[in-house]
Amino acid sequence: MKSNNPSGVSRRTLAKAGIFGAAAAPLLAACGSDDNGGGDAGDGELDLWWWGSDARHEYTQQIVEAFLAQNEGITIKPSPADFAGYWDALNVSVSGNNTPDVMQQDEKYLRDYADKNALLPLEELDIDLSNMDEGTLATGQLDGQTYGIPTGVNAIALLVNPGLVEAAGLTIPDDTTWTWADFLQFTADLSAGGDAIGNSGVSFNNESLFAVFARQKGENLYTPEGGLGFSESTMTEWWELVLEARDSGATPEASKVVEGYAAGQDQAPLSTGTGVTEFYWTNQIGGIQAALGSDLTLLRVPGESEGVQPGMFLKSAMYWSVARTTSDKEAAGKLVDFLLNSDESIDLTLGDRGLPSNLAQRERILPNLPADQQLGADFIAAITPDLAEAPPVPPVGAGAVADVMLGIYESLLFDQITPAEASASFIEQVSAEIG
Amino acid sequence: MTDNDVAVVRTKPRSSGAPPEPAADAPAPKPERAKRGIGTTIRSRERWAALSFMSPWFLGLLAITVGPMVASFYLSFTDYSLGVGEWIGTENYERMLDDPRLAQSVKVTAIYTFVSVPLQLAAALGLALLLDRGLRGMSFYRSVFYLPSLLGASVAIAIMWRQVFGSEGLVNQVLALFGIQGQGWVSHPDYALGTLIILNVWTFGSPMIIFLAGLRQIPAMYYEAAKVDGAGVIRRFVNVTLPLLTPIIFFNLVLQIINSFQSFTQAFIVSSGKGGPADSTLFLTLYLYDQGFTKFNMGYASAIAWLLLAIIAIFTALNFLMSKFWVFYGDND
Repeated sequence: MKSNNPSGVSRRTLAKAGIFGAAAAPLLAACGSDDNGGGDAGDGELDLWWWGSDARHEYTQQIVEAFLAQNEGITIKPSPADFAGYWDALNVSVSGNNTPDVMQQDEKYLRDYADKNALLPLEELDIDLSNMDEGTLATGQLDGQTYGIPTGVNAIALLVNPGLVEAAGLTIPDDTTWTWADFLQFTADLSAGGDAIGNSGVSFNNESLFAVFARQKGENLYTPEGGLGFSESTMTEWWELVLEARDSGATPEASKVVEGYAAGQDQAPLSTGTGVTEFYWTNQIGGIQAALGSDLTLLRVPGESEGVQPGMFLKSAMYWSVARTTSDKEAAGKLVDFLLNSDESIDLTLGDRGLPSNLAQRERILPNLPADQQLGADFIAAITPDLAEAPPVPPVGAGAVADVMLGIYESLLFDQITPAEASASFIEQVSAEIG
Repeated sequence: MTDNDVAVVRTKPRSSGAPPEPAADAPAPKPERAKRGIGTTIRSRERWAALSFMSPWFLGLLAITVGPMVASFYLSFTDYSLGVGEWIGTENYERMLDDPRLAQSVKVTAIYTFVSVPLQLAAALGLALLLDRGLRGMSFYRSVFYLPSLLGASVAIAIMWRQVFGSEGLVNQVLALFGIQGQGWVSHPDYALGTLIILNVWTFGSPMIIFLAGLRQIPAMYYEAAKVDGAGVIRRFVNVTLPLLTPIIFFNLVLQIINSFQSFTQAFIVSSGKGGPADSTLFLTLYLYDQGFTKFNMGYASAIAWLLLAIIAIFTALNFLMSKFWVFYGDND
């Protein structure tokens, strides 16, 4: 589960494999204009980079055309990419001093780029933020300055295939009261009662899901100061839960989990009907339902009423950022403003970049959402009143955490390390990255 | 060994084709001596002409190879990341000493190289011997066996490999015919590296072609002489083919060791770019990529690149040193 990549991009490894990734990077970089200007009179030439699915590439092009129709004298070079290839290309481009003027950013990497002086503090630009939620805006800030403006919000949910639950002779449990023990029992029963596996186990390595677990215990993944915000025993408990799920048959054997993970969202067990449940972000529902060909039910993460506080949270789906070296600040500001606030842009985007962060626009489009996005919107509306305080933003270096956690999860599943060793190793490795 | 060498040398004068050879060699030095007399102006003009013809390549070498190498050497002493970096001395190299994942990646790369290269060369030599018999449709077979070499490093084959060795893959379907319950080979840390080794062995085509050319170079008269002396098939292979093929074996060995230390694509695709499961396919190149492009530690990644260069240089040097003891050039003893 690649945090907030709505397309899922099952070809992510292919894209990374030199052909589209490393090889395309210098090409993309070479396409960049000379972004050294940054003076008052801009040249009106903007590079616009984003990642996503084919559908997003198409409608973003249309947004760009609508923007150009209203703004004479500005030209835009759009560069769509898929999630994994995007970061390779961006890394190379920024290193080569060719940072694209306007780019999509992710929570995991935003602070890395801001910390390396690649991004412009957006206070310098004329962007209307009056309709934005303060808490959501804060997720794009570092040291009090805004480096990325969230496009919208997501929540993590347990996606359930109701047909397979019925086939296993079970009923969907009450998600407002269920505990982690209930979840383990439910998924083990699903595996025992039907042909599909109860839970495909491809999300226990997701640090955001663990963050929910830690928050239920009154802790957090990170502290506001940028350190690790959970205790070692909490994480050990998490890894013990993972092994319990494996040993009870709720999740498949280790090598099947690795395979399910490598298959990507479109080929993962939930999408192929060989798994009954899995945790995903709300903006991934559409892609999974399309692959599966039937509707899903959304449940809250287990344990919300079990601990000291609910652990779920709204996550900024992605951000718009501007290069510090942009050749035309004014035009870049106009473009970001258009992307976030204009009717034209939001009518085309709808919920694809998360439920819009512009609250007035969110209100306006809610009735027009397609069925799959409506599902996510309703879910977010339902959990919002119960949410505890938003989690602190990830520190610089947090982009490395996903890989560290995956490596440890695999070692644990293959019994190479114990839960206690897994926690110690995670804390050691992550501390080195964010230290 | 010396016995055989003597035998080989002794057969030389006996065969009919041999005498002209030294005769052809003898006059060769003459023209060179003559050239030297013509004077230096033409020679230096020729040299400039040669250099100017070479210049496109030479500029490419400077811009594309030497330049980046110098830059990466410098960067390996900095904490370079996303366009900013400061000089930190040898910190990156010190960090290597206490990096368990680096140690793991060196181990994985070493196992991969030292298992797959001998197997691959053995397969290549075996098939070259079979193909050297002058079968009908020989060029067809040669192309067929060479094909994997062209495809092996490609993304498509790596993806196919993942399918073939997956839990529902071809390998397990075949095993099921014999009542054996297989498992996900690529997704199990005990077997994932093995599947990559098999993939590398499968690309035996290019060393095979080189072996074939080498086999053609061995004069038939040696075999005839050996036959006359009563040597059987195995004896002819051990005492004639192998010694005379050692320069080719050496060449292939050096090349394939360097290649396999540098392999990247297969592991990248098969392990979804992470070197998994549980770091079991974490090649040095993959770890370098991970540090540079996912963790933004470009300085450390540069240092790893130089470690890789040093390892390859050491093994190549060792290879050349050891070659004195087993490679037979036929003219130096």
